Amino acid sequence: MKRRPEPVSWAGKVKPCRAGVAAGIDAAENYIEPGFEHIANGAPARRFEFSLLHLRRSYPYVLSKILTVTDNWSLDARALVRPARTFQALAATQRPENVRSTFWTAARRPLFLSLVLGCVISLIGTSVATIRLIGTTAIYWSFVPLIEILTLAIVVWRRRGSSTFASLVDAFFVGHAAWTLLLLLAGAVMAVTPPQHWWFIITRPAVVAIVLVVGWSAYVDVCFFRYICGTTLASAVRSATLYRVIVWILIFWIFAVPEATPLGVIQEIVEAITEVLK
Amino acid sequence: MNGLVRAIVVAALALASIAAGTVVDVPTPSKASVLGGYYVLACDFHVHSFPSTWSTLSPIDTVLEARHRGLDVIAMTPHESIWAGKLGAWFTRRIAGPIVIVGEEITAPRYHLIGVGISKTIQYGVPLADAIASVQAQGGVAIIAHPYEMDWLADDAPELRALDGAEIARPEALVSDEAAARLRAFFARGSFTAIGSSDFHGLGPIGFPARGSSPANLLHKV
Repeated sequence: MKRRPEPVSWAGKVKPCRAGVAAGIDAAENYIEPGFEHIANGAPARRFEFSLLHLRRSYPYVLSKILTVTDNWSLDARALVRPARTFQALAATQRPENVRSTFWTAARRPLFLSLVLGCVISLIGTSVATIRLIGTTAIYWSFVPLIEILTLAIVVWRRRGSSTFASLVDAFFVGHAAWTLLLLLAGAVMAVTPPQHWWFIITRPAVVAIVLVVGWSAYVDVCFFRYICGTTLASAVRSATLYRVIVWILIFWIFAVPEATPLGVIQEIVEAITEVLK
Repeated sequence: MNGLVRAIVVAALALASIAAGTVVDVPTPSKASVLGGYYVLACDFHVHSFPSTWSTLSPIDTVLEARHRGLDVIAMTPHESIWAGKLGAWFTRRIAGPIVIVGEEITAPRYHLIGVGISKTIQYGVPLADAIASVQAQGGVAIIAHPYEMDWLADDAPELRALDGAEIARPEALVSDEAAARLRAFFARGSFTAIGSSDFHGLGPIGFPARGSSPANLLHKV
């Protein structure tokens, strides 16, 4: 099929193609013979059509250029914005001969999370990050990463394949950036916000932020179970759901429920939702 | 900037922030004063601690925070339990810290009641009259907490006469005229003592000033 020739003549308006070939300018095209004005008037339409075609063809190229910016980011940041690709790449590197699993491998990211929790609690309580609070709260709020690790063990133990549990824990917490960023943002906002705005922040913007993070982190978790644990999509969704149900109930029970009964948990959830909705 | 340099920069910034925060975190001295023949103590009768009551600081950290803020007395009032108050009271005796009174926030669908100075837990959901009677039978005082939605209680209800105190000064009432008006309206319905409390859950400063005297007489004064 013969393609119609590319319009190249309107001076300076044609961009070079991807191969870098500059467009030629035909000066003769600028001369319009009397009686042929309708042909010249059609040029803008062809120019617009060419621009659209160029843009549509180059959109994936432009997007890929934008996303390659993340190639230089840390592993955790890449997992935040491109979890599927990051976990695929991470799974490919987690061959048994490549994995050196030590206690530090499993502990480094959970320890960082404990430190973040300590800093955030200090910020929301005193508006500054002070060592007298960070030092102690980071210790007893380590129950959060500990519960996450124990639940991960329950959910993936039989499906961990050739990976060591330490490397699985490390890979799982690679996808924790969304929650970590939310905690840091909450601490920073509450540290500088006057008290009269706290309840509004807790019941409006914070709820929206939590919903967004819950949604995105669910996708990140599914990517983890699918690519790191090597399961199907349906199995990954089930694992992520089971993981979240166990972790959230346990953390909520320890944080908020005075009675160690299912009814106590339900009562606290109902009271909390009622307070937020008032 | 490679990963190692980036990590070092982030760690240095974090350490610098923590160091700066620690330097500016200066304790507030306790200001003992005498007014009309009474020692004026800074008290907070509604303080929660971690775990189980939506708070972030442990009982020990709560006592230390109260001392850091210059409070003389706190009542530790977790929901449906008193062990945190007992732990706080034990700890404060060892560090010569603020007076810690064991208490509980008794919750029910229609009210929250602070029982200060009790030794046995009172169950969730008991009728208000029974809760007040249980608190007073143990030698404690009954303070209605955040009484914003107590319209269901009639003006001549015996519970209003039995109450020892009500939270009339709260953090949100300082910044919301509507909240302050609703608390004042509730105060006008009874003859109980007006109490100021922070309802501390780890967010914001602990402590509200209140008049009082020696530890043994604090509850009597209320």
